[in-house]
Amino acid sequence: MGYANAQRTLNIIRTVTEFLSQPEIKNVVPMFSVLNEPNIPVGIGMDHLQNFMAEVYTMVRNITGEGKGNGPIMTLHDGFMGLTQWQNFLRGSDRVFVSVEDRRGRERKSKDLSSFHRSQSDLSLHLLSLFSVR
Amino acid sequence: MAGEWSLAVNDCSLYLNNVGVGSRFDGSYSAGSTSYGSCEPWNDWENYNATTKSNLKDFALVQMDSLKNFFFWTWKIGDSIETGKPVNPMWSYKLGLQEGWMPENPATDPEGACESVGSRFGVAISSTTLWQSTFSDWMTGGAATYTVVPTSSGNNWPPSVVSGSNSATFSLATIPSYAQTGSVITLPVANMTSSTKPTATVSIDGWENSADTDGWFTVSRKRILR
Repeated sequence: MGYANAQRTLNIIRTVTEFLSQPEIKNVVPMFSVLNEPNIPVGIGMDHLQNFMAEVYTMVRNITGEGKGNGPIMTLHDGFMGLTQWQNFLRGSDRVFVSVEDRRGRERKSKDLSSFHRSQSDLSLHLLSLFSVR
Repeated sequence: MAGEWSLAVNDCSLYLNNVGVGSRFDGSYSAGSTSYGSCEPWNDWENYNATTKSNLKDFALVQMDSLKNFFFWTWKIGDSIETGKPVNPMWSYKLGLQEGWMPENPATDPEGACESVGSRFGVAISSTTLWQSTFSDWMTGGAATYTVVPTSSGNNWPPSVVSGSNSATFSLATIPSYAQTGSVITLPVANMTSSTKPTATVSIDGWENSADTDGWFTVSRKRILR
C-alpha cells in the first residue's frame, strides 16, 4: 500500500497548500512542512522519498506559483539521513528548506558542559543551517 | 534556524519516551540497561539550589548565543495530573522564568555568552564560525527562473518500480493504487458569527487556485465479474 498511501498524502498536501496560499492565511503561516519524519531507515528508502518530494514540490509550486509571497516555503524532513545526503536535492528550486534533527540528549549519558560545547561546535556547520535552505 | 531545543542533556523527563516508558539515563527504559545516575535530582526542580539555577541559565545562554535564530521547546508544560505541579523542568520556559533559570531577555542576554561562560570553564573560543554568505536568490524566492523537476532519471513519479522489503521489486501495475477521478476535499473556513466587535467578514473559501482542477486520488469502482 506504499504507493497508494503516497497518493493519499499528495491529496492532503494539496488541500493544505491550497488553504495556506490564500491571501488572508499566507502571512500567518509562512512555512509548510509537508511530511513529518518519513522513516527512510525502516523502509521507505531514499530514492522513493526523493522522487516523492520532487513530485510534491512540482504540485505545490503549480498551486502557489513561483517566487516570494506566493504561498508557503516548502519544508521537507531529511528522513533521519542527515543534511549531507540532501545537499544536491532540488537545487535551484523555489524556497525549499530541509529539516534535520539531533537527539543526542536521548542517546547518551549526561555530559559535562565543556564537552557538550565542543560537540556543539562540531555541529556548527549544519546547526547554523538546521533548517537548511535548498 | 534551530527549532525545538531545550535544556535537557538526558531523557529524565516524565513520559518523554512514551507514556509509561522510563528513561535511558537511569536505566529504566529497557530491562538490564546501564544506569548513569538517578533522574530524581534532575526532576526535583523545587529543590534546585542557586548554583544549579545559575548553571542552567548559563547553559541556556550559550545555546542561544550559538544558535542565534531559534525557538525553544517549549513555553509551558502542562501540570502533572498526579501532583498538580509542573513537571519536566528542562522543557518549560515559563517555569524556568518563574524559578530563575531561564534568561529574561533572550533577544539580548545571550550576546557574548559562549566566550564568557567558556572562559570560566577554561575553554577558549579561539574563533567563531559565523555564516557570512548570502542566500542564493532561488532559496528565498527571488530568482527569475527556477529549476524544473526533471522527469527523466533521478526524480521520477510515479516510480516505474517500487521496492519492497528483502529487495523485492514490484511494477506499478501489480500494487494497489488510486485513480485520480474523485472530487477534491477543501479545508473548511471558520464561520465568524461572534456578537462581539470587531467582526470579520469571511472572504476566502479554502481553495486558493481555481485553476487547480485535477481529480482527487480515490478508489475507482470496479465491476466484479461473476
